[in-house]
Order: sequence, then structure tokens, then C-alpha cells
Amino acid sequence: MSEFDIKYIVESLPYIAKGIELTIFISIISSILAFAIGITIAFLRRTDIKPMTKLMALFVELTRNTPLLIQLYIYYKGLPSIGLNLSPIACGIISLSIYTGVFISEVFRAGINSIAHEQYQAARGLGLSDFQTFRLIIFPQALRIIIPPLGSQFINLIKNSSLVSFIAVTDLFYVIYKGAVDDFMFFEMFITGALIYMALTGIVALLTNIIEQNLKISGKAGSI
Amino acid sequence: MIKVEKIYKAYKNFDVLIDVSAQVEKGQIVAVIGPSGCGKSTFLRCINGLEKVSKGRIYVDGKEVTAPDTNLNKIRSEVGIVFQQFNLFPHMSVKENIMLAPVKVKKISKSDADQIAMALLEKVGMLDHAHKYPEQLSGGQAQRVAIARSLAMEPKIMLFDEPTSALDPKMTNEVLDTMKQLAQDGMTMIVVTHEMSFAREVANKIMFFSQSRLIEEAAPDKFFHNPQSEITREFLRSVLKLEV
Repeated sequence: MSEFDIKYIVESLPYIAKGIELTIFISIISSILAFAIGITIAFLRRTDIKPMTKLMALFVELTRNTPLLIQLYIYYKGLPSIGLNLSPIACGIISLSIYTGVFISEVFRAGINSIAHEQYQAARGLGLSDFQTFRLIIFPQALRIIIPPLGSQFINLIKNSSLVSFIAVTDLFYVIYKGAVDDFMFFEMFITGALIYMALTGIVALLTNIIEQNLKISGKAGSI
Repeated sequence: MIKVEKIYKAYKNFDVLIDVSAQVEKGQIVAVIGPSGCGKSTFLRCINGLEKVSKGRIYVDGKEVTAPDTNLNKIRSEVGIVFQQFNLFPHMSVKENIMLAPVKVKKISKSDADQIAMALLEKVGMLDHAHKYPEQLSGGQAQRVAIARSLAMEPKIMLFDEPTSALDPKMTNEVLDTMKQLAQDGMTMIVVTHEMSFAREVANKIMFFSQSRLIEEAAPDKFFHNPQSEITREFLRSVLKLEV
């Protein structure tokens, strides 16, 4: 390894671009699903149905306390054995969505718990149903509080998506790694890869900031 | 209008309400007083089912609140409640706070709800603040908006849970004036309060709670000048420095 070979990177760009495309695709779909899973788990955990809350709590613990890589393999190897033959990309999206969704549900739960119980009482006192209270009063307020930690979860998701290369998904990490080991271009490829991941996560951080500013409640001084 | 029959309420090992029975007639203004922690706020919240009783029955306008199959949302839409801490929804403007329940619970059109909201804001003297957010209001203003928000559902009964305890004297008067106006309009009201002047001037019945029990019920005149219970006399002596 003599010097940094820019020419190699430039020549690899079309190839890298394909990887970027797939990483973005997986990240966007997984983010949307993770968000939905997160809200659903958080909502189910605050219902009165004891078996449901227990089951959800167990699912959260199982998921967040085991490595994503192991979960990825469990879905990849396990789903076919119950007759579900999904593409590696689909398996990657499923495991990323569930893993991140569980973390998002915890973020939501913290946000929901931070909304004063009085808000709940005021809404129920007006005759709003439990679900209306969640949707119109609790959730909109919790969302404003959790935007920053929520952004971190999406950033983690993008970085974690690199693990799907282990089940032969040709994402950004896969093409970087392949270039690095096949052509002995370790520095070139890994540094390029790091920069691209940084750019992708940077976009999320930027979006988070913009959303945070736009959701600010009028008349509230300082942070939301 | 409201009938409370032998209700009990316990949290874990602590009895909050013991054997409370009471009745409130249409158009009556009831002041509920007593030392902190005596159960008066819990009593109020049991009436619209925000707190569940451990035992006993409560009827509002002939419907049993405490029955397991009661549609509590329906009852709550007919029984307004105003809290000590106002509890306006901070992410909605003043007008949106008022329009929410009529639109979402009563399913009336937004334009009708808008008219109701503006009329009520005028009534409570807050018309100029319709587009502000709760954070921009003083405590007295916020509480008047909270009253308007409850009135928007056209309740038959209004419950007030220490509505002026978080306010300074000037703001307290603003809110009390609004409540007096409501009383004159013939609203049935139950007011948990430490404002003895309000209890004396506006209420036509006093309920005195102490140590989880309803100790005494009487018209204000009788209550303040000729209380029947020694516990009441002790309370009036120590809190109000009254010679009774």
C-alpha cells in the first residue's frame, strides 16, 4: 500500500453508486416501517390489556438485547423454514425495521411518559376517547420532544444497514468491502465508504433539525 | 341531578373516600371545602369517572357513572371539568383548544365550532387572544380559556377542581367573576375551593370534607355561623379564625 489512489475511487464510482442506491432504498423503507412499528408497540404497551403489554415488553427486551447481526441471520435462515422465502433484501429490511422499531418504541414511550398526566385527564374530561386522546393530545406533544432522539435512531439505522452485506445484499458496505479486499484498496475504499455514510447520516441530521424547527410550538420560548 | 350513594375510594392501603353520600340539585352551586388531602378533589373526579370508586354508586342526570357498561365519554361530554393547573393543550391555539371537543366528540362542523368558540371567548373576556398559544397567556387568562373550553361542550354540570389555587389575587378575581357569571346563568356547579369568600357569597350549599369523610353539608349561612360538627368548628376556627 503505497499512496492514496484517487483514480481507483473515481473508476469505482459507478459501482459504488449502485451500492449507495441500495443502501438508501433499504434505509428509507426500513425507517418508515420502523416508525410504524415503534408507534404501534408504544401504543400497545400503554393499553390496559395485560397479556399484550407483557408480550410487547418481552419482545422489546429480546430484540434490543441481542445483536442485530444474529437477528438478521435468524430471519434470513429461519423464515424459509416456516415456508416464507424472502429475498435477502426483504430479510434485511424486516430485521432492520423490527430492531430499530423496538428502539423507537422506547423513545416514544419515554416521550409519552413525559407528557403530564393532567393532559390526559383534561382530554378525557372533555369526552375524548382513549385513542383520540393519544392521537390528538399525547402523540403530537410527545413527537415534538422525541424528534432529536428519533433522528439518532434513523442515523443508527443507516449505519446498521451495513450489516445486510453479511447476507449477500450488495449494499454500500458490500461494494466497499469487495473493492477493498479484491483489489487491496483498503484505505481508498473504507475512507470513501466512511465519507459516504457520513453524508447520508448528515442529511438525516439536517432533516431532523429542520423538522424540529418547524414543529416548534408558537409562543414557546427556547426549545420545544 | 347528581346522586352519590355510599362511595368508597381506596388507593392501595389508603382510604381516600369513606362512605360518602350526597345529592346536588339542578342549578345548585356547591362549594366543596376541607383541608388538603381530605379527599375533596378525588370526590370531584369520581363524579365524571376520571377516578373510579372502589364501592358505591354515582348517578348523573339519572345515568349511573359507576356502572361497568356506562359510556363514560358521553357522560364526560355533559359534565365539564376545570383543573387547578388549567391543563390547556400547549400545541393548540386558544381557539383550537375550545373547538377540539365539539368537533371530535360532538362531531359538529368546524365553522359551527368556530362560532361557538368565538362566542365563548367573548363571554370570558378573551376574544382578543383567540389565536395565541397557552404559553403566551397569564394564569388567569389560561383558566378562563379552560372554562370556555369546557363550556363549548354545553355541559349540564361544571366541576371545578381548585380553579384559583394556582393564581395570584388579581387573577383569582378574574376567574371568580367568570364563575359567578356562570352561576347567574343557572349552571349547576361543584367547586372544590379554598376561596371562602366565594363559598360564602356564591355557593348555596357547602360540603365539608375531612379525613376522607363528608363531615357536614349545609347552606353557607348555617355552615359558617352554626356548624353542627365539632370537626367543622375546629376547621373554621383554625383556618378562618372564626369564632364558632
